[in-house]
Amino acid sequence: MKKCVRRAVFTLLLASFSASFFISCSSSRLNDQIKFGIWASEKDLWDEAIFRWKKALALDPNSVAAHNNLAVAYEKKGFFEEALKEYEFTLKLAPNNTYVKSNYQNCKENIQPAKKDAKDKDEKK
Amino acid sequence: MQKIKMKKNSGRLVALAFSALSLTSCVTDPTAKVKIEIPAAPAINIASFPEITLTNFWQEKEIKDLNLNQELMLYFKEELRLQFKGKLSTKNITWENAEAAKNKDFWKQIPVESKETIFLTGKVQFTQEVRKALLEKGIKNLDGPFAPPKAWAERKNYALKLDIYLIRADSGEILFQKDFQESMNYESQKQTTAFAFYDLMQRIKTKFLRALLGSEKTQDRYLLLKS
Repeated sequence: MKKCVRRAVFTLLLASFSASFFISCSSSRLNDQIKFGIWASEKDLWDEAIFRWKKALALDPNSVAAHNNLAVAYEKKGFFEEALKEYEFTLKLAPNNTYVKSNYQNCKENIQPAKKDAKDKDEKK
Repeated sequence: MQKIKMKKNSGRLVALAFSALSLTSCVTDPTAKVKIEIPAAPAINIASFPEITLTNFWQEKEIKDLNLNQELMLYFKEELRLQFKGKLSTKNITWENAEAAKNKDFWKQIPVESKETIFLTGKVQFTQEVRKALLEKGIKNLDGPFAPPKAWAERKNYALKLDIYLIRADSGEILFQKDFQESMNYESQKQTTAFAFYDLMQRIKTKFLRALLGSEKTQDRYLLLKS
């Protein structure tokens, strides 16, 4: 009886571990694309990085990392509207992610700071 | 018996290895901080306007030895010539008051060649003062032919405040507005006002053109390592 229980527990454990292994395998392809993109960005190859992160999004359209990184790349390329859209979408997926929030705030401040100054001044008055 | 034990141990080892692997993947830092040169968005696209007319600024006090408005207009004209391919002109206007910059009708009634002209104008304040500070308490006079050491230090302080506006001639709408303030201390009491003005303008010019035309700046961003 004890043997049976032990076997059952062991098989359950093994099954759960192997399941997690397979899941991690499929997500590892996604993470590989993300990491490749980061490597490319470090080498200043931002077009390659965008290509990799778009590939990651094809694997998982709700990948927070892929959306956030893509937004950073768009900012770097000067595509501010696209960057803002990506950040906003990322924040919908991960509203409490402090890193994404920080990126988004900085990006927003970069867009038309002078116009914002004028508005703020008028509001204060 | 030994074989059964071996099998049991190998099973445990496999389980341990899996759990160790999954744990290490959770512990690593989830971000990569990168410094990137981000092209700042220009406040307005000045290339879409055929002409920029530089006007005299609103000035509260006249400055001795320096025609501030003329210097300002010439300075901006020369600097903009490098950045703007359209026509640059100057115009002397009569300011009603300091708030005229926000009066749309005031700008609409100024005659211009093209309706799409924009005015570069604003308010200027340039001040100069001598600041004194005690160097040390109880400085003793030395015996002999030496002059007594100074107990205080003097610095000439100059401050330049510019409130710059870019205004559409046809509608009087403010396209760009930003305050700039810079100050500098000079040890030399012989420092001329014009020299100080150009020192301060150099600083303001960099900030103004960066804000207006947009130039690259280094900022931190976080890349996420894992989905």
